[in-house]
Amino acid sequence: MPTRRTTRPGKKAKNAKRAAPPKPAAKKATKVVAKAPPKSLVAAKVAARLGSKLIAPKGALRDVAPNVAPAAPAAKRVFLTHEIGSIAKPNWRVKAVGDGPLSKIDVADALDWGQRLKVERVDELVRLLEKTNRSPADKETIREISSLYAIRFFESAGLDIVYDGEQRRTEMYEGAANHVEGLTYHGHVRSFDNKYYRKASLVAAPRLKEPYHIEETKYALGVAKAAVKVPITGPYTLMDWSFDEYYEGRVTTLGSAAAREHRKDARRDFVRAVAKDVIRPEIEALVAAGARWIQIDEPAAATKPDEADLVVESFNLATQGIPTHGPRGVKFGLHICFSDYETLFPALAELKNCHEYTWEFANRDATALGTTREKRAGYHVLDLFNEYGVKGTIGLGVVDVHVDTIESPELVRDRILYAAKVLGSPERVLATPDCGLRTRSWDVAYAKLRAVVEGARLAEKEL
Amino acid sequence: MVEFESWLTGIYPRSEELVAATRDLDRGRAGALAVGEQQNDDAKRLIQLELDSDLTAVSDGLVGWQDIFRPFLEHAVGLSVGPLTRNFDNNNFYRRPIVRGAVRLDAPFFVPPAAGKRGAQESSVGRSVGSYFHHDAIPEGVPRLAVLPSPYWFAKAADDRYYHDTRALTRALAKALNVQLVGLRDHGVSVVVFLEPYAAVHGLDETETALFADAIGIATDGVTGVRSFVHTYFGDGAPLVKALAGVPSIEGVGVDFFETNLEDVDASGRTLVAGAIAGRNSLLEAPTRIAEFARRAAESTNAEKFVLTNASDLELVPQKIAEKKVQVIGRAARIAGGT
Repeated sequence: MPTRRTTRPGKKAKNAKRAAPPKPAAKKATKVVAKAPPKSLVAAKVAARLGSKLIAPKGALRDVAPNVAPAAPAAKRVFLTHEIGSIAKPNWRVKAVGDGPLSKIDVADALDWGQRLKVERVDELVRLLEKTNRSPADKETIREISSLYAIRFFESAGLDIVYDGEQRRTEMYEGAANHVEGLTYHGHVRSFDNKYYRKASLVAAPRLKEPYHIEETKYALGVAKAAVKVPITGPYTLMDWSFDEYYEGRVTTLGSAAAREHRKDARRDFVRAVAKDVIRPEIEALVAAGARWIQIDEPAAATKPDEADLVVESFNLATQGIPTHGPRGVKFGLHICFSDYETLFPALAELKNCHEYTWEFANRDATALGTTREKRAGYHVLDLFNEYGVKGTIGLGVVDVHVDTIESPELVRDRILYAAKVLGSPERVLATPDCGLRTRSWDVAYAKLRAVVEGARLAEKEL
Repeated sequence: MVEFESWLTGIYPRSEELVAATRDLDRGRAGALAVGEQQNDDAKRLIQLELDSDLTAVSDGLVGWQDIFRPFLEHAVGLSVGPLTRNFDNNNFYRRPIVRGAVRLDAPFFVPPAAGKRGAQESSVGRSVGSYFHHDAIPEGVPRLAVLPSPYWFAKAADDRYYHDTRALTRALAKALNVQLVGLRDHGVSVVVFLEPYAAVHGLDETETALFADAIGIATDGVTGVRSFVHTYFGDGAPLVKALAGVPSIEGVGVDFFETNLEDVDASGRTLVAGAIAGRNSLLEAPTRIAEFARRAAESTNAEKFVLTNASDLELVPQKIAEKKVQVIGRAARIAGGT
């Protein structure tokens, strides 16, 4: 997912280089493929791969369109792997788009990663980076190639389901709020330390101005060799992170229960409108563009325990009417992180179209190996899925995105096996990082993703 | 007739210029000096705004504070900076205090530690720079107001790896706060507001109330000439007004009236600090309505003195909005007081 504001002081990287993709001997870029494979060709390849010996989680792949299916594995796979959304924007991407001066190191970094990941358009990128005056079209091309890098980054790490690392997005709140009629900005507010975001005020009924994330989605679907999952900011978070001057209006009875009731009603009206008139049309546009797996990011979901019902209601409203079964069915996920998940139960049992719960767990877990309940304290909340009968697969956070220490594949394996045991079925577990890896370097992020993949393979051997 | 006072409490938002300067600092495009200068400008502008708005005590807005606990973590022995932690139910975070040893503040602090010194953050990103306090920019004769975390909240927010005893930790933190308050008094501060959202959100039982009162007593011990207040917010403040009514070291309790029923508050014979300006919404209050509320509240709570203020830190709204809210506080207080 995009800009996350919950970082922790990083520890020194351990074993980060262990899993980095091999550096090529030659300095010269690999052969350039000027044009990405046409979408139809990619789709055909993926469709062909579906006939392989893939063992997919029932909830993960059943009744979904071909472009949701993961690339064919060489061996049987039980535990599919995917990422959550964002990775850091490389210096060359930030500087080139922002008109900053690029150093030789920046260009060498682009070349190096391009070769290591076998990115098709490395030469084109280097030419653009070496230009002194870059046109708006040049910058757009750089953004696009940055997306390509991220897709290849995830694919090279071995993930089954990928996206573009949100290389074209700015920030998860503003990236969506900018496209909402009725929201206006007054300035920045602080998130923490010297980190800020522009928080908008709702001054009129919210409406989607125009769909967003469409071009990046089409591009990802066109070039990805693995399956594609599109992350979007959810309605509850969009509401909770905005001021409300429209529905709340002036509180005329300050210091009264009636005023608080009015505020609660206003929040419900606000989030319902966002779900129905902003997020649903956005989802419809994404689906029309070919998206078949959409992850709804709701980092604010558990911050107000008495509003779990609003989280559920807004998710249901946003996804209402979107086909979720059959060849064009869409799979929906709900990503939440760094929250008290218990506050969301039992309300989550009322979610209607959620196929996967992609949550952060590793951050709160111990690091000793083992699959006993005592060893896996960070995953105890999984009990609640059983207790309240919440179905669906779990995108299990198995690596911490806030530290540079690389988890061992064995630790990832044990976390996966514990979850499979608790949930009563390996088919309900997919392995993921806790959240987007944007606060980590590419070396560290890659090593962590390799740990996810290797851990999943080790876990399969234990079944 | 009840006397109406007014002030600004909590952390004030940074200007767009200071936002840009601190971002530049984190990105290595500007130095600490530039940020310090911008902090001074922000503080001076805020102080002038408060003076122009006729607030009866003036705050410097804590524009150099990274969060409400940070300066103490950077200066007190036994404390260190921990992971980001959500500030209640807001999209705003503080660094959790980690208690690693006996807490002790040897001397009051006024500026962040220099890079490389004890307490200074290792990474340059997000490091405190400039100055914590800007009270010197407040003209002589104008009451200077300081804001500090309450020792009770401080202890509850901390990850205690040393005392394993809430009472011992709370008292140790209160002693550290006392050292700081003495230093602030010596720099002309005459009003101190201890922020206390935790007790408002979670409530206080009898034992906790005693601990709270004891800690505030320690924090204010011997600090003569300073009026002390506890400001509660994000939760129901009415029970706290009642529970803390007998605590001699505080003159009054602040209440967040967006979370508290007016009819439940009894401030008989005390000073009531009314948080009546929203700190979490950009919607601007009408001064006449706030003044009307203030008059009604002063009468119904039987308060001896009445202070009008913001309900919670204005740093949760952009500075452009906060400026207007400060003006509303002053104007509403003037209308309520008939001046």
